[in-house]
Amino acid sequence: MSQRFLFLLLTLISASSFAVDQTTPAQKLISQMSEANHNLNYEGVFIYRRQGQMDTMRIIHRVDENGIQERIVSLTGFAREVIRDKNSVTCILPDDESVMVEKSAPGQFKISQLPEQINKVSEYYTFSIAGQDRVANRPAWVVDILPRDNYRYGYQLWIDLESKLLLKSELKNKEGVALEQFFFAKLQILEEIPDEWLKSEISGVGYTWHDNSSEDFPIHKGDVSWKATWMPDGFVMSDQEKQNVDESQMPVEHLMYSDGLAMVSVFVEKLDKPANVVTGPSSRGGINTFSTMTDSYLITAIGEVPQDTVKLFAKSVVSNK
Amino acid sequence: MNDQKREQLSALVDDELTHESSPVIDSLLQDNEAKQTWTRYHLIGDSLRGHLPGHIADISNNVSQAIASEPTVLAPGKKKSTDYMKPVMGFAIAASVAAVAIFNVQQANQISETGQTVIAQSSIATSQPSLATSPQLVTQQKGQAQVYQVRNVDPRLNRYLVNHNEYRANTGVSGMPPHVRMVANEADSNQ
Repeated sequence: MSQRFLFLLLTLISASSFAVDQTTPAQKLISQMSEANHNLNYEGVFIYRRQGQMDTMRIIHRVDENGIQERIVSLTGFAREVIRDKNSVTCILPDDESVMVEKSAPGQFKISQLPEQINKVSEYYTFSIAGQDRVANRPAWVVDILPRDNYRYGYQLWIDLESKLLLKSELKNKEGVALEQFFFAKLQILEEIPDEWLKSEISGVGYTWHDNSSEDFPIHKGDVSWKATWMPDGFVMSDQEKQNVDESQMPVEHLMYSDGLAMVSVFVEKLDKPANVVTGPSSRGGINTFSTMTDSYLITAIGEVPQDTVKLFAKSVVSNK
Repeated sequence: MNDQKREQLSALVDDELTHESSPVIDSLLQDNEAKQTWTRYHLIGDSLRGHLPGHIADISNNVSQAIASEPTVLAPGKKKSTDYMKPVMGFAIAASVAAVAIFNVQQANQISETGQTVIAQSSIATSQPSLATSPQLVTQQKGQAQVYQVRNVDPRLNRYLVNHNEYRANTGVSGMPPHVRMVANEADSNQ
């Protein structure tokens, strides 16, 4: 009996010390991963998979004195592409014959404060290193991030042993089912990246342009008049802004909530013709959205969180005034 | 070849014949037509599972296209004889195989010529019940069919998504480069 007790005790001790040993390197790796993305030039081909659909894309990622410049082009189906730099994000959509230009998010070019965030989020997620694997001919660490409740999704990240770049990831629901998957088939880290690689081959002539990046549409920080009154434990408002946009000239409020890992955006927009709007749930890959109308305002919550979470977020939004 | 033989063949392909049925197998093997049909069923099965070597896969593609150009094969309702329907219903495998072949061809049609797409789609409608047992295939084909269709783009939702992704890039752990979902060829799925 006492032997059995001793065995149990030893097992418990080793299990707990094991867990402590594993959590710290996992957090460190994630932080290094974020830094690597802000320091390295790379070019590669990756596969993006969700709900039985698959796309192959090419990514070109350059970091210089102008910050991060990135271009992602679809190699399958329509040649959609997104090009971003410190000023703007340009989405070229050949299927819709349109180009959409939005402002870049300020502050995205500094290294985010991940270590502190991770300490806080360990109340809502568990972090561990699951082992090693190989992706795009590179050995990688596999990091597991599991949610502690049903309001969040989990992640599995494959981080390059050598460069610490993200090589593969899976977004998973509480049951561990992968909702979407991203992985490199080919990746090369480069000293320099020529300018031409970051330019689109599509001229955009004859396309419809929606440009919200110009000085005519400044972003105002703060001064928002709406707020969410419900959110899962650990979520706080991380940012807020207001911008008049091209098509409606009406101010659109963007409220951002984060638990340090996941992020939910809430958009509130006054509509001229509320009748033309589709409300309710929708999804795109691992992103869920939920829209609802309050008077003539359209409230939309968007995030890589379960459908219930965006729905509860959207339905809890009220006016401050 | 009579219906009974077809049913026996189908059972043989499905591994449903027991030891007691060996006389049946013998009689099937003596029947040249039955042997050819048996080969076709296996070819179809292998092609479905992707087990065919390249040059044969090409031939089976041609066969699929030939099937696709004759959609009446899968529309038993148009046949006057009710006897014809029996074997068609009996051979769920064969029917689903043909349906899958047409799904694949349909994708090719959508890329090359839109005219044939209508024919292919009407065949799908009649053959869908036999595919119901294979949900994985159905979703896959549904996905393929979406490619190159006119997308129903909601500019407002796209704008929201881009702005969300921009801030997402700097918040917490992003599992992917931002904007991958914008580049993906996918319509929003309303639930």
